[in-house]
Amino acid sequence: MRLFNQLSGQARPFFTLGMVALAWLLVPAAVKRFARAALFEAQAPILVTAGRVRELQEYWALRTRPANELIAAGHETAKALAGYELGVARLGPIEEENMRLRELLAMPPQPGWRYEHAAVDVRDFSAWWQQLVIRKGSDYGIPVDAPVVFAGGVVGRVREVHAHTSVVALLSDPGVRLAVAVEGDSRPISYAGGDNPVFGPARGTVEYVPTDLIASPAVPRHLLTSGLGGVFPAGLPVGLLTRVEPSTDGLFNIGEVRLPAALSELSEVTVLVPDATLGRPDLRATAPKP
Amino acid sequence: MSRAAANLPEGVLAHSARDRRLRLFYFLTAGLLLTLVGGLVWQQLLRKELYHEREQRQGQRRVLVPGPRGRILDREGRVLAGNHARFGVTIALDELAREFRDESREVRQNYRAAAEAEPPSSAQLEQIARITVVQRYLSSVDTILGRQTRLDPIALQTHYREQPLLPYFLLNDLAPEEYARLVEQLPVSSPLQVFAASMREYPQGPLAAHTIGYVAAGMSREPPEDFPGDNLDTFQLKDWAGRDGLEGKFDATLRGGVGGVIIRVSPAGYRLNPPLVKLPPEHGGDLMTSLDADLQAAAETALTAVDYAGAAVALDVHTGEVLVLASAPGYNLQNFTPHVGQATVNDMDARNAWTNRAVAGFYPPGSTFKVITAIAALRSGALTPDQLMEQPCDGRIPIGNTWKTCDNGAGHHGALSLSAAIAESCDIYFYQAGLLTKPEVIAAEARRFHLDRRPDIELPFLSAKNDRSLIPDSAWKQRVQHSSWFQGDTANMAIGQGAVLVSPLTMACFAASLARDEVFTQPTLLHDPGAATQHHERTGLTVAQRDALIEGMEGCTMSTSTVIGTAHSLTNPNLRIPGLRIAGKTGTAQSTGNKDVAWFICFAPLEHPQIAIAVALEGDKAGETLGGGSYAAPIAQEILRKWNEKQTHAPVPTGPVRFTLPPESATP
Amino acid sequence: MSRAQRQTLALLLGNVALCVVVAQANHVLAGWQLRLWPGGLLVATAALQAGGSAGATAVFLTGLALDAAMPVPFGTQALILLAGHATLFVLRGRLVREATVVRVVLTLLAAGAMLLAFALVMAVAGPGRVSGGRLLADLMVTGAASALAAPWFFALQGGLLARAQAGLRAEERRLD
Repeated sequence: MRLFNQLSGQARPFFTLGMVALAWLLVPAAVKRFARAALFEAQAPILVTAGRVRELQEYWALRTRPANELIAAGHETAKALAGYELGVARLGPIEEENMRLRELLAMPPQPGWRYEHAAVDVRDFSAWWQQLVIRKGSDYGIPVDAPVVFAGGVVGRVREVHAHTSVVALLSDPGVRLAVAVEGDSRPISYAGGDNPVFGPARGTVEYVPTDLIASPAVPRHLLTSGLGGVFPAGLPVGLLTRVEPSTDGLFNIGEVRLPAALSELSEVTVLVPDATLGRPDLRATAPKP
Repeated sequence: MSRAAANLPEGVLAHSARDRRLRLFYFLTAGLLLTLVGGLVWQQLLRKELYHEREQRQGQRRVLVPGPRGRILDREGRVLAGNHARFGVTIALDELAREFRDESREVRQNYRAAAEAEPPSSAQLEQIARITVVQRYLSSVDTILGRQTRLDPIALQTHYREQPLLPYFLLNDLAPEEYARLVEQLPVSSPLQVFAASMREYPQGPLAAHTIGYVAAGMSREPPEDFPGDNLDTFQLKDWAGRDGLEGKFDATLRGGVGGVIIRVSPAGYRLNPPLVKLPPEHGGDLMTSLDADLQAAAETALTAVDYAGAAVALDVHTGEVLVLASAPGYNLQNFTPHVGQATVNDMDARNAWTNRAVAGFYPPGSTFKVITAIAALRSGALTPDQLMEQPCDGRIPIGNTWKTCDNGAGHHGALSLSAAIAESCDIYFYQAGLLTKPEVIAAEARRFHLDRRPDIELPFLSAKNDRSLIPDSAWKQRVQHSSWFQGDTANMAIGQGAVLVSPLTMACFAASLARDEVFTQPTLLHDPGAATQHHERTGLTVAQRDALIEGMEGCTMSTSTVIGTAHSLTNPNLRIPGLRIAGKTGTAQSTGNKDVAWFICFAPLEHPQIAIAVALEGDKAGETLGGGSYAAPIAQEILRKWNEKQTHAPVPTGPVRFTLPPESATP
Repeated sequence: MSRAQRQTLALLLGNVALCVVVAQANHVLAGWQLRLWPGGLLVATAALQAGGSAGATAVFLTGLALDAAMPVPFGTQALILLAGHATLFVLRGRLVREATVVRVVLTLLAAGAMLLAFALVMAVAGPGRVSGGRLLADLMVTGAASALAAPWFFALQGGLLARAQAGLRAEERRLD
């Protein structure tokens, strides 16, 4: 302590900094984990409140609209709803038929999902990460790594789950990787989030694209989840494959994926929660046997 | 104390910059500063290269990728040997240093806790730790894939000793579905990474295995000279090297050029895009063979059905292009990738399946040789086509000191013309014809038709040394067997027995030559859509002589009121090909150990020959009758049937690929 | 509660308020792939006007709160902010730190330096695939927003400190 007091005023802050840094390195990982979770939980109410305030803002903004406009919007919604109801009614028999055929072929039951719709409280798109904080967490049984989708396709994967909120890593996050396939083709392609340029829509990259799949900005190809990876169900739109070029392995192409612009303006997403009661088998049970 | 100081109030010290005692400090400070600046200059400017290189070595990796191997196609562009991607998992050992250290500490503590009398040495501890950590990662992959894999500790140890900075291959046989699971379920920055490499695949299954040949993992070519990064840690994917067949012969053409990337790796293990240097590997050249997958399949199916070892060769009469080069027993090339297992080797050894009997099988030609005897007799004037032999066939004839028998037609041939003798393959006739012609003349004729050596063809390991073709004569007998040439030897040679040895490919070339009325056909395994008809020396037979010969050969495949050909089985309703006239000759020879060899050579259509075939089958039991007419001829007939079918529904060739012989592999 | 503790609390409260506002701004800016980093503002008042340990504590806690909500090694931003704080704190004796212009300029310099330091750390610990353009754009937007918001934010912090009866009179120029 005497040494500390003897240090001149100039060096003391740096000495303190050094001591804090050293002490920080020695703090056990578990303590850090706990502190991090605690600090996140402490902030969560503020984030959620901010989100609610935004909703309120939107509500009041809508209240200022003339009644005619709202009525027109109501009509549009009713029309869309009628269309969807018709679609659902048509899907029923097809699903039953599908189930029957699968049973005939003794195929394993298809994975079941519970849908958890959640509001987006925070969009945080940095150069190094792209993530959302959504307003549902372990209170709704959301697990880590669960797929997250929206009307336009895949949003990303749940990265962290907290008590009442979850953090979702977006498709454009460099840490997100999934097995996709070009529409109408079953061969799996590896998709990874990538470079996110200023102003531009987020981009991703694909590897292991079969060389016979051609795509260009003029003739892009739709990328869908392949369903083979064991996390995402098949057939969800991911983005547009806009460019392919030969990879250095000489066997495949690599390519660039344009992600939907709506991905950066999301306010509602849906988490797909694997649900055993809905017939989703254990991931390991469907893995190919050696 | 200076004078100025004397004016100052008491208790206040003053110092002057010129104070002598201070100079020492000035020098000291200057010296220290100089050292500091010098050090900085030394580190920053002079040793810059070293640091730059060190930074490069730590943050950059060079990955060399062999170009995909060229495909082997049949004459219609169908893929006989192609490539498919093989997915695998590697683990970056250099990223696990810390885990290895922690694990090693834990293992040591466990040993101490267990109070082992003799704890392992620290090198052993490290080894145990490495195996434990890598096995743990492997188990995590297994959990995702639902399989159980055991780590090979010795291979890991060798890899760690020799190339600790390079990724270690944990698994290299992932199906696309398994690779998809890993892509989605492994963290992006995991030391486990998925990779893809090319592997040989054979879409036609075991078709033409001997001719295609197998590949084995080998070192790839050197990267191009202008490819930088010699000093970087280089991760080189193994290349495939052709070891046999066309794969071996045309390895230089089929192999791709090495390409690669230099990538930056962040300390956290993320690969930084884009790569610093990128050089796409060159695709190996495709090889368009002259084989016809349909005919080859027909031949192999027929050979497999009779279940004898043997070979079938079919040639395009005009160009000499090989349409079929089949050898039985065959094998499945798929068992050779990614590497050949001991079980496969044992099985191949047991079935004696390694040999390509079409080019490396040498058998006495038996009665098929009678055609040569006939030509020699006709050309030398020893015989005319209508001449009858002094002694008609009654089953036996005294030659020298022994009685020789006629093994065909149960000894009731009677008096025969040349064509009838060929059709019914009368031994008595040809003993006498041989004796009339003289052995030197027959041997010379055989050599004129190039039967004394196997024709050159684009396959490896075919040298003059292992060419066992033999047309014996008195000089040969004197040299090798140290005895004189007897009449019996002449008689034996006249019917293709004794020491005469030829390969099925030789006999197919002979049939093709005969079809063109020439003495030689150069076979080739490469397809040239614009190839011209070959021209060699004519046989020198007159029209009448040739007509008689061909009439005899057609008679061989027929059954009429006057002649019952030795291959009359081809007239059976289930074998007959309506409208196709075939000129053929059967042969049944005794090879070493008194085992039969069944032969059939032919060409068709008789009016304007297009395809020439030779089939040889080895009997596997001594004394068993394996007649050429009943065993070998039906196999040729299956090839002809397929060929005939294709003439009416000829598919349009699909492959635009033209092949040019590379200079380095043009000469064996 | 001691004066230093009240100072820490007041600074922390101001910082949290700033973080909330910045998070909302980032929520909107996400559509353009831009992001503000409030580091400069978070350290300026604490380093230039508050007592040494009170300011450092507030800054470190703010940094930890930031880290908790981001996928970075926990403590990264806390230590970077603390380093920024220490540098400004050492320099403050030689500067006319009462002048708002000086404080704004120092805020911008600190923001730039700390964001670059953060980028360096992320290049090692993060995915490290960041383009220079994106970083420059973030830096410029952050600079512009910080310059605009600084006077108001300083006033807010001044007000909070006064309310907490931990005003800055005592910390004013003193050659220590």
